[in-house]
Amino acid sequence: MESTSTPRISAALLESYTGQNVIIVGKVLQLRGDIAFLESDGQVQANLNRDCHLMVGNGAQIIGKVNPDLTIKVLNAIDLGNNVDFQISQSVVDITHQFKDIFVYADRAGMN
Amino acid sequence: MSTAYGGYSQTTYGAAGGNDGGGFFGGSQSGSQAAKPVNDESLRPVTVKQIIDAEQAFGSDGPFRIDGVDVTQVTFVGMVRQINPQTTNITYRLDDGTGIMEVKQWLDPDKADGESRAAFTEEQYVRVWGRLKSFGNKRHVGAHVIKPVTDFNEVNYHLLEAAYVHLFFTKGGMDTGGGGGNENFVSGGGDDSMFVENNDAAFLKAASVKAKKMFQYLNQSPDSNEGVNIHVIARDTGMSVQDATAAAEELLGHGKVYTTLDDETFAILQGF
Repeated sequence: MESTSTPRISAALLESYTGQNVIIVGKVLQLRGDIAFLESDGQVQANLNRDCHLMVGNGAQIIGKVNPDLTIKVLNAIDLGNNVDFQISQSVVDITHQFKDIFVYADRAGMN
Repeated sequence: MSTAYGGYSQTTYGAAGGNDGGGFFGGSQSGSQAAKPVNDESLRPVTVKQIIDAEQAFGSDGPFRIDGVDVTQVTFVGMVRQINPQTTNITYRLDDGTGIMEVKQWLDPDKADGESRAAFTEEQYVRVWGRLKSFGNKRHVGAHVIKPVTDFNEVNYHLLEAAYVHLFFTKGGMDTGGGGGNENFVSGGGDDSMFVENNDAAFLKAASVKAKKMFQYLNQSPDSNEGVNIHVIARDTGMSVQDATAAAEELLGHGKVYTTLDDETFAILQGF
């Protein structure tokens, strides 16, 4: 039992979450070495670690920390295949922020 | 005024206890499962944060409540963070992005030891069906079933469903409460009763979910002139008799219903 949240966000919300761990679901646009570009209501640059096996064109979920330059330091990335409804993912991001009382614990730094 | 209502509520409570059996028999004779009050064994989709935040009455023995509703059986989707096989159970730490919760799957000692190995791997999404438990000061979910999530959309689906159920209990369902309900009342008001109907709409906005439910039930019931017994209301709206009684008190206090045949039979106070 641990009351720490990893909020689900999209590219549009990156700025409000610098320094925090977040979950982003998006479509992999490009892989360049250890860097992946995801489309999630805007573009996200994710700096991967070695264990990541993403595929261009597939959906991916990345969990990581938002750097000050709004790139993501990825802690965990999973390939979601090609059957991901990104509209539902976006709805989840929306309701996460609309109903924080059931989805997000206030951050320790007092953000949000 | 208020003292008179206080008197009502006491008699209602007393009589309700005495008649409880009668109400139950009525329900069982009709043999309909749906008409039974929603009991606290119903399965509720939740987020981990809701489990952690759930209130618990009477220290660590009482029932859990989420959004003011008793909850025992829950289902949620989370990512396996840690697997901890023990002699009698496997403990998983599941993270759904809203919090982390321990889930214990008890092992059947009669079965072969192949089962004692965890069937899941870390960083895999699973769905859990289980019962909320608390041990000491720690909460966990005693799993009945854990299944792997094979379609990622189920993760998102679950979060939306949990939000829907949360809103259902806090703001009322799509058909019965909220904006839709108010619209009905305003448009159904006709010309001369407009004022009263608007009043009702304003009241319903501020009313509790239970009161809303009961008001709308009474408003729709055909024989509302003679009134409806509190047990019938409770049965048909799926509330417990206590909840219905509380709703009745609230409605009485606002002058929206009145008692008819006896202290536990209510009818809508029509605006003339």
